[in-house]
Amino acid sequence: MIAFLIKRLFQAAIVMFVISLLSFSIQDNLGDPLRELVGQSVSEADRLALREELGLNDSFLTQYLRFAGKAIQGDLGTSYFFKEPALEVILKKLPATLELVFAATLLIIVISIPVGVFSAIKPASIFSKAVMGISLIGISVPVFLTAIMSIYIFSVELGWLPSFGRGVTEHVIGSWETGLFNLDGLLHLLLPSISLASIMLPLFIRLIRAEMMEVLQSDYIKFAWAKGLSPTRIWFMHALKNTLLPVITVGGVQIGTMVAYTILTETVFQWPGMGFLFLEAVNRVDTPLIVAYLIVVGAIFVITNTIVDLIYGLVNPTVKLVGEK
Amino acid sequence: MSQNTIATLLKMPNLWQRLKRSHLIHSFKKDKVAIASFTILMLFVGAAILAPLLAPFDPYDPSTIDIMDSELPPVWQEESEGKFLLGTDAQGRDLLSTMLYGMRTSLLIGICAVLLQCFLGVVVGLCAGYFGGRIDSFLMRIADIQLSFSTLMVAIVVLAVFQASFGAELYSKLALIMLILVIGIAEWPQYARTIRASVLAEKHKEYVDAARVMGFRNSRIMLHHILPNTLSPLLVISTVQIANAIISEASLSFLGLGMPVSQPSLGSLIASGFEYIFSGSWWISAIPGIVLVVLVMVINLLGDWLRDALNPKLYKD
Repeated sequence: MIAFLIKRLFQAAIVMFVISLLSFSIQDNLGDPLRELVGQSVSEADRLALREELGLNDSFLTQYLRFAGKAIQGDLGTSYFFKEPALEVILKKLPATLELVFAATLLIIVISIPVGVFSAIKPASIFSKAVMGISLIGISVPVFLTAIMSIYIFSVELGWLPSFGRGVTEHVIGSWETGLFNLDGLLHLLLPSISLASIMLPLFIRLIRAEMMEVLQSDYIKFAWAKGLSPTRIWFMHALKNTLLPVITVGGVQIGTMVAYTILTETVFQWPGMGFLFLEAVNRVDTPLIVAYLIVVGAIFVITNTIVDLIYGLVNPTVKLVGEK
Repeated sequence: MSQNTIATLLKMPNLWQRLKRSHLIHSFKKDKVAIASFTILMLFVGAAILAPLLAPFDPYDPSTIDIMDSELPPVWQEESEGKFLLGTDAQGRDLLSTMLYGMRTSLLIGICAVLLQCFLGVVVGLCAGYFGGRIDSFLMRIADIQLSFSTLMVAIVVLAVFQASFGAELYSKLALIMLILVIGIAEWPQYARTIRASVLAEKHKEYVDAARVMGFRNSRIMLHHILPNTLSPLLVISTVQIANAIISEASLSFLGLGMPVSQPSLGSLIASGFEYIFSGSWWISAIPGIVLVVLVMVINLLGDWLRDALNPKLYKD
């Protein structure tokens, strides 16, 4: 277990290194930091002196090492637009995005497990067939279209729900402001989280259904029936447990994908999270902010993937933890 | 070589006969959903190819566009003028014509991107599966790492950085090629993994051993002997991949990282209509949206059918 842990951490470190290298070369090639600092009025000689002083003439390696050294201490430069440390700007927006992902994940778990299990137990029922049909349509609808149409129906036509922003937020700890604890915030959260969940729901329902159907065919379930256990016990204690293994693996990968989809959802709903901020930064060519976003999102991906691998190793005793040789 | 080609050509009618009697066509004829999806897909593809002939207006020609015609609803609405069948968008372009051209762009990007993915994936997958050992574990580790990052995320980041460094003006000219390249490169691991798995299954069969004993070169065994036997999984994932590529393209264009408004794909058309939804002009977003969903759905349905038809062992779901 410990060898596996070390191997995974080592791999995570390599991936983070590659991400930081990529981010740095973006920063190196995108825009001129001098122009952002001094504007047009400074003479050519002063510029050259300043370049030398800032170390912009050093070799790529020296500059990268300096960047990495600062990055490890949490200093990713100052945002050109906000005039604040880029990492702080990103982290201030992080809770909004995480709340969105959390709400969507909750919706997915609460809906997909019962629906998936039911349509595996009773594949011939009308409900199961309807679920499969709807999930096929669901896979084919891009998330931004779901978002736009839900805005049109529930905000513009019916006027039931707000169409943009987070609504009233309350201060919790540090820079964490939340909309989870009041009605207005929850109402604002409803449409974005449903849209975000809608892209993953069909996938998970189909996955749980397919896995469950396979598990229900296996010998140990037949044995459980023969023992005369109650159906609920067989379905939820025996079968569901083994169904969840592949679901965890896929789920871990999909959390990363969800972060990507938050960019789309946040744009449609003008949700003040990281994704929305990133697109604004791109439009303003705010390089430090772009780099900070890349590193934060890269870290999220690496951390979730490592955790999922570890959980998978813990849950599934047949997984060979140290290499597959 | 030329004799070979002639021999193949002579065999063609025979091949057609074989295809007609094959399991694939037989199962296609039985499956009503597959026939319907195929018909719809062909209608779409046909309309996209013939867009310059079918479209009542030319959306790329600014002289035919009148800003006074903007945001006219489709003919079945009350305030419609009747000149534009599906209404007009915010710039006064005929929505039907713009959509036909947009579908062309979307399909072109989807298909080219998948061809690129397929090429890269097949090369990597064949090498990894056939040579095995260090090469295999190295290539597959890269594939794993790339897959662990969502492809959409990778595409968004790459395109965003390019847009920021090129400037929006130049970028809009290169958008088509950039989209194909980025979607093409971002998804190769899917193909590489599938091909590798099939190659591993085929590699130890007798016919490969026979070819090796006869002294054929590795490249010949890989391309002429093993590759043809991995075609069915390739076909199945290709359908899904085209559907995904079209959705990815639409999403990127929606974010303003794809096709410019002057040459809209379905995604950028939906994006351009989004602002006008609040004033009640739902059709600019909704009609291209429906077309996009139907297009992707029929491709997915065909993929489902193909998977079942080519792999009878698989249970139906």
